[in-house]
Amino acid sequence: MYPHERSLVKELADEPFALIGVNSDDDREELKQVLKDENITWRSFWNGGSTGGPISTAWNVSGWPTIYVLDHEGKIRHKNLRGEPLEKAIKDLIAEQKKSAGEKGE
Amino acid sequence: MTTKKRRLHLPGLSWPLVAGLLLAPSWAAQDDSSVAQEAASSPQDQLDDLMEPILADFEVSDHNETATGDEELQDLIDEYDDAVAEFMKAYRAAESDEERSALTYPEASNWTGRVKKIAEANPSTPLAMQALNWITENASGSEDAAWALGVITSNHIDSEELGAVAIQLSRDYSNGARAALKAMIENSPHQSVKGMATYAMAKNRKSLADLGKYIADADPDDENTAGMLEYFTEQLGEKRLANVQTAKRQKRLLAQYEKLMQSVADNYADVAYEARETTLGKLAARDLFELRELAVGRVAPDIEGEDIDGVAFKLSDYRGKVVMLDFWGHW
Repeated sequence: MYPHERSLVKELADEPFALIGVNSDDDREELKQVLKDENITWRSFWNGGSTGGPISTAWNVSGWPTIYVLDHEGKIRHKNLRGEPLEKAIKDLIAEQKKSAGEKGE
Repeated sequence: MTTKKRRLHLPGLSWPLVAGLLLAPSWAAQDDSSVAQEAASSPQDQLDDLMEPILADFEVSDHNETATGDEELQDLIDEYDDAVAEFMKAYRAAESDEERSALTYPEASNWTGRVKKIAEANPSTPLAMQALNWITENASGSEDAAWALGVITSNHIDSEELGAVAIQLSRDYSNGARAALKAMIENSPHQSVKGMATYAMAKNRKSLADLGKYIADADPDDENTAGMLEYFTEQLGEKRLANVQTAKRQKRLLAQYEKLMQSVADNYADVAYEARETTLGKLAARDLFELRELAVGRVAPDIEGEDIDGVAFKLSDYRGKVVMLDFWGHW
């Protein structure tokens, strides 16, 4: 998954897009090393060191990874897409954001 | 008797497992951290866990001559566990995909006949219940499992242990499984069994809807898609598989899910779900929150927390941008 996420983050670096993680690993120091080793540049919430942590519990997450895609208004637009369809959905929403920003700008 | 080949392809994954991993929510209790840790443990750990009871039993289990039904059943269970452990050992030792795909997972059907005999020889006893339960758990989806479910709901409907059987049916899409859950909801004298069966039926509807959507959304170019389709065509039949991929069918399944889960919240909130150290009420509240508030079209609830370096931030800091929110772990 990391290579795919890395390339997506890189490709969309100048776009109104953010990949935000919620990480449920149990060892924070080890995780810091993983971030370095795997060149994971995107930001993650720390879920308290457990898959039963507060954020995943609030979001009722029971499988990993679980992916939500939110639009620029914070609305949930997709859930658990993967691969090509996920990428397309994100790009479509970016286009939507730009259109709406453009309309407001006029 | 059915003997469907269950062959494992590629790195340690079979479709039931892959589907379980990919189709997020299930009864499988992965949000319980201990269970999730277990799921994330290494093959060696898993093998050790499997081997431990087998080795522990080794010294005491060689008095077959006077074997009682209990011992006979235990021997069969051990034998099966042993075969699974052997498979895992060989799988782990295999050095190429070719070697791995030549290995066959032990067929539970090679044991169900003998387990069935024990159940038949001791009708309506706890031993029969244990044997029947083994069949439903290990030969899930087979004719034998359908038979065992039928016997369970006709001879053992008063058993308080049916809650555990019900939970196993959360991902069993056969008609037998649904009929068994329905019988438990309607006829069990125990609040706990009724509650677990209602919860399992709800989860069953939800995971079938999720499965349908997952398949409909699957990338046809992905190397795993063909194998997945083949597996679920076998499970559901072509017609049903096509049906669950339609938005109309998914909507109906989700409506059933909501109704059943609301019934869990309203009628069985105090029932303990011991394996997960919680109550059905708490689980139902979370499931209903997800269904109603974490649905497509809803504004996502904010997350306030800190990043890995300890810097506080909020999900809403990223308002204005498209956000991919990824619940992940490096395991």
